[in-house]
Amino acid sequence: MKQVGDLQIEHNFAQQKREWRFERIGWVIMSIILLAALLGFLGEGLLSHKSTGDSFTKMQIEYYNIERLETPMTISIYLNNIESTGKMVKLSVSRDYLSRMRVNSILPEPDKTEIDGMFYNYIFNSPKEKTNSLIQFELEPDRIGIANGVFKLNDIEQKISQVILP
Amino acid sequence: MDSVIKGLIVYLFLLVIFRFSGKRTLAQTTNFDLVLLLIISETTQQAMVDNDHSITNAFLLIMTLIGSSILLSFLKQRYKKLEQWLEGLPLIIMEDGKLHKDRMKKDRVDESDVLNAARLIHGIENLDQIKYAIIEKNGEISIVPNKEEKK
Repeated sequence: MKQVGDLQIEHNFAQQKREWRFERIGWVIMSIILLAALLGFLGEGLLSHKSTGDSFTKMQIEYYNIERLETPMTISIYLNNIESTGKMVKLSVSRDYLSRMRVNSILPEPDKTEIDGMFYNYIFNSPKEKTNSLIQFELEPDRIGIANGVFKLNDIEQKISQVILP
Repeated sequence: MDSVIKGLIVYLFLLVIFRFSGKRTLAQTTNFDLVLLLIISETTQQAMVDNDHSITNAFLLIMTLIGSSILLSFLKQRYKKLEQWLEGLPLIIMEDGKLHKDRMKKDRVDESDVLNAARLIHGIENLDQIKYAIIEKNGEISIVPNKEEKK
């Protein structure tokens, strides 16, 4: 124990200076992490918003490519002038992708679901010959890592890739 | 297994984040500091417990946190350098009646904080009556009055 004047104290100014430096470095790290979060590098945000195709493509998927474990998320699938075969629209989603997710709801609710090898088929009634619509999957990732999904509609195939953070 | 890992991660994260924030953050000097502490504890609890409200999960988490604390206390006892890094050291901010303003600035403390502690502990009225002021490891300011004042 050191003696500082009349005071017996565990005092070490050199260590204290190191501590202050450590604190300041910590502040910089925290600021960088917060900025990254605001921009969308740690979840949903401006830079993590992705879209496959555009409003002119027949199937457009909007999603965030960085999501968090057990946090609700939405996959929006826009259908543009899709020809319905037999008044039905069939959307297939890869089984691998859905096995990593908890499906909270599908809007609109499909009329029928089918198991088709590595895909799950969701069949929606569509009375018109050409369909412009939106299908939304409300999901919740239940595994961390990379979730690769394949969405098929008639002959169109779109792939998405999402990083699921803890 | 998940609960134990979650508990350990949260424990280590809190340890690092409170070292980053400096000694005075948890000193509960103002009402807002107390509110902040409550918000942090609530947020931490939600992240750790998640949807598992079972007694098993609660027991595991409590044992993980207490166990980590015991393990760390053994390590701190064995390695003094580790203790210095984890808990910090007391910092003298007033020596023989003279304020170390540079140190105070770095630890975000001002004269009013020193006077506040002096009033609370010793009923001291002004700075001249203080010999030493020290920011302790827990962020509180301890005061040693001038000997003449003690009499």
